[in-house]
Amino acid sequence: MLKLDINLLFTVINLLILYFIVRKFLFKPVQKVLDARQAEIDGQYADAEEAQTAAEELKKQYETSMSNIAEEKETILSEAREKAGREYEKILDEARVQADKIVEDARKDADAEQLRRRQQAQEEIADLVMAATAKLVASKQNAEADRELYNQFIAKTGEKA
Amino acid sequence: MGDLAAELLEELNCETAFSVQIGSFQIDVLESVVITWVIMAVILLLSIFLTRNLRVHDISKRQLVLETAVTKLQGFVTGMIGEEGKAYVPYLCTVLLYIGIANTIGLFGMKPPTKDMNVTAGLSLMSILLIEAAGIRHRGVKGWLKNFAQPIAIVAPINILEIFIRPLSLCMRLFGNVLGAFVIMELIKILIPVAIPVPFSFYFDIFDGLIQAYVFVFLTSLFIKEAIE
Repeated sequence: MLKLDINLLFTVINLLILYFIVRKFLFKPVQKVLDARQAEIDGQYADAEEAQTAAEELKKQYETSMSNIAEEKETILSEAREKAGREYEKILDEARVQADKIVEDARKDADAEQLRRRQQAQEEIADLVMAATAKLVASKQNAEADRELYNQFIAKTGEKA
Repeated sequence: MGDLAAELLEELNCETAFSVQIGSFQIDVLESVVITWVIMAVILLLSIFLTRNLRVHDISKRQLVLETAVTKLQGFVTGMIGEEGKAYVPYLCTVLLYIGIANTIGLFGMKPPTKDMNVTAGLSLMSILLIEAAGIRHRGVKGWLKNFAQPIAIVAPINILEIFIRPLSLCMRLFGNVLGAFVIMELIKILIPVAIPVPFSFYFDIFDGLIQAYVFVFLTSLFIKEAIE
């Protein structure tokens, strides 16, 4: 009980063997499984991170293309607006030119008509004067009849003029 | 009364399990060593049984218990020695397991091996070797030698004495506690064999045994921590 002998050495050897047993048969397998699980978890984390990075990349691309599209839209719109403005101006100019021409034509027509009317009136007056003169010459009967004719003439001319 | 004393002595005596004759030397292998073998065999078989087909996924209850127990045990010892002493955790776990089982093996009717001073002396010898080896490994031989003159040179003799005092106290504390508990338990069992020993057994065999295992490992790890700081 109280004596120290060779059994002390046995105890030390036993302890070393037990240490080996515990390490090799208990801790090592358990640690292996824990490490494997940890590695798997780490792998999953890495995968998730990778996926996130990829998604962010995609998002950035998308945003870039979106802003490009907006820019493009703006360009196209302004171009179209400009073109439309030009077209409008052109059409307006053409219309103005045409309107001027129409007005001009109308004026010319009106002038021609007036001229024609005047000529016609002159001709008619000439005819009338000729007819009156002829009548006057043909029926020189009396002063009363003269006066009658004269009045007729005045009345006719007044109607025509 | 004479009977009782004789009976008690008989119980206390650490019997020679068997003897081996080599030439003119007779080697007596004590009971404590044989029981240690039993403990080793139990740990070995349990380990092999428990670590059979461990899996990473959908683990069995057995594996869950094993993983929890191993992680808790390692975490417990790591908590005492600190992260920088991780290399010594497996040994300290081994010692904790061994002393814990050895101290409570009285429940199974065997004599605790730690009741034999050879075992506790062996344990503390290993402890002091480990402590000093850790000191040398972390500080180098020079640093380790210098450490004896810390904090001032005059305490060097006391520091050197500590090399012997520490294992001695470790050895004697464990041995004395287990022996004392064993003696009391045997006395109670001889005097009143029925019912009464149960609560006492809870205290002396289980509680005291585990506390002593804890104290031994705790002190060893404390010394190692001190040596590697």
